[in-house]
Amino acid sequence: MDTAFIEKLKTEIQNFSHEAVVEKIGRVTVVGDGIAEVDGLAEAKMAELVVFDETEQGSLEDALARKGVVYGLVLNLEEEQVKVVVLGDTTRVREGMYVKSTGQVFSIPVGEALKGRVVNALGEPIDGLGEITTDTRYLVEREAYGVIDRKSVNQPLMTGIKAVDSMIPIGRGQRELIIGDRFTGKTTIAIDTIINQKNEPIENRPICIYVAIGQKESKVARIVQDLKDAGAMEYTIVVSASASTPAALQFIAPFAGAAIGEYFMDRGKDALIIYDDLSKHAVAYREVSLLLRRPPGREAYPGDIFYLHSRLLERAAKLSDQKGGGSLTALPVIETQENDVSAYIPTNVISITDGQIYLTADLFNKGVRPAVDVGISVSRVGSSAQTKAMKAVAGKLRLELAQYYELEAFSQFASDLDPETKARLEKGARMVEVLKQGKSSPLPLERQVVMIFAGTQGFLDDVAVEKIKEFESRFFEYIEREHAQLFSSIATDRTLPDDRVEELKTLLTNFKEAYPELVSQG
Amino acid sequence: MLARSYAHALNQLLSTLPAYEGDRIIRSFLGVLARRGHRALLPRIVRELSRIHTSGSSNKPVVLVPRGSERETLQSRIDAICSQLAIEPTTLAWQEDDRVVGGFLIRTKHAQYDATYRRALITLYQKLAS
Repeated sequence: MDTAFIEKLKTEIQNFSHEAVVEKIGRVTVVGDGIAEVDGLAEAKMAELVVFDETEQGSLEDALARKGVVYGLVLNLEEEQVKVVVLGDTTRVREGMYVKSTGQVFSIPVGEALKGRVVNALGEPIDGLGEITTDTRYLVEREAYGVIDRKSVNQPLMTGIKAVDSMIPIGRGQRELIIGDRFTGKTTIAIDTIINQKNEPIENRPICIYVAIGQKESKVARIVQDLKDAGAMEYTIVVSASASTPAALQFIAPFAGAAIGEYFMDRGKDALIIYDDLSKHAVAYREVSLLLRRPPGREAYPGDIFYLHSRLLERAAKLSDQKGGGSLTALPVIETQENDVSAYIPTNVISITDGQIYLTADLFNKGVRPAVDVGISVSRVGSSAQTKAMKAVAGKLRLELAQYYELEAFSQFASDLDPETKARLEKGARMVEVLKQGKSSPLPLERQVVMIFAGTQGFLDDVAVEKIKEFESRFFEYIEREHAQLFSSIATDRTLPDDRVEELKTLLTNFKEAYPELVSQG
Repeated sequence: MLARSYAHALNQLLSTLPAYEGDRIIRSFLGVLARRGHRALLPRIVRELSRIHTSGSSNKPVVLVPRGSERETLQSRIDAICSQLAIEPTTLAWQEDDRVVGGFLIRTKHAQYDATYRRALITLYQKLAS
């Protein structure tokens, strides 16, 4: 017999005070499709959390045996009733059941304890690793910071993807949309960005939050495993509202993720949040709105669908020094149908974000992966969020690639090309090959700079296109073996002064002489 | 929305006019529906009327006590709480419910004062089990 436990029980019982409480209540009159109509709750607030009292109807034994609580979110305040969205198992809610007001607007637990965990949209752990103890709660719906509290984006967020970091640079505090058809590598870009943060020094490393909205559970499980295998899970939080969860939880999940990110931003840290994807988020919000009998608009979306995403994405910011200098970078994902970027939701989100990374199925199927269409991808923050080293090597890359794609189309019709055009085509093909990158293989800055330098400066003109990848891997090994300080110096000061440029040119020349089998006429 | 308005209008008429007028009111109501082309709303109007009736009957303030409770010992305390909740004590309907175990519970449409042993036991159990 555990006497210590018995003593603890005796103390609890002796110190227990039974005070009566006054509770604001309502009664469920109609429930169905995840929505409960409640009579009463006269002082309910918008977005207030309420609790369905399952214990009232049954015996005391049933009440004690019941596990868990069913919450609801007040979303419609009407003249004679309140409509509550059930945040849980709707089958546990019955007509006639009493609903108690919590008096609190919906909030979730936030804090350092969430790092490395997988939670649902309510902040409850779903990874089987035990309870999460935090002492801070943040409102899920929070107003974004104003103009005065912000600062211009001036610090790069390295994705580790050459095509992005060189031509579509992302800054900390920016909103950069990842848009494309299904199976074009959108999630891969997002996950590789998270994994690449491992290359950042700990004091500079952003906390990553991946919000899965309407995804398959198997996909989320695979992503979590990939992050664990790459050692990225220790600084990542996964918020999952999968396809099998109620639409209300899918609607709330991105806001919950933003609240988690704001906790770190408010403390002067950097955070990165990925919303995968907002197309499914819009569909979930449409479902909830139609069930709440809100008037449908274009494509049956509610009238405030733009405001849904604008208020979410405006919470990403780079804060001023007075506010701690923290940042929240957002990478929302949108899935298009048949490359239609002029559809309703894609155009909405494009107009909100600070640029987009456009992925096309054509490029993907041709083997150009990541399938980034540099012609229409853009970062409105631009080179102010790019390191000096990358600016030095990638300045003309986008223009050269654009010219290459034009000439490539032209060359299919021309029979005899002049030497200059042929040279451009050859160089362009090599640059496209340089920019190809494997899945889950983000590159740190110094390796990107070295390889792009080699391509843009013509050192790969005599390397066959199919040997570019081999050239890259062996050149990296060569530098690590012979001149490791080059990588470390670029990684440290992130610049490429003239003396380092000369050193790099010498290294490339010496490498090609040492490995002539890699060099041939293309 | 329209069905609800019809249901409220009919309910108010039936509750304010004498009982013998009931048949005439209902015939007139059906005539109005037919003239306006809203006969298809009839099933929803009936549902709304049922909801109004249920809500109305459940909105009366009640006090739940366990069987065998002595009303006199609780009366003064209940009267004090009624003034807090802005309830006229004479409108309270007393109901016996052994599920409260002990104490009492006063419930209105928008609020409840829970001084039951049931709530205390559940709270104690949850504290000990956590």
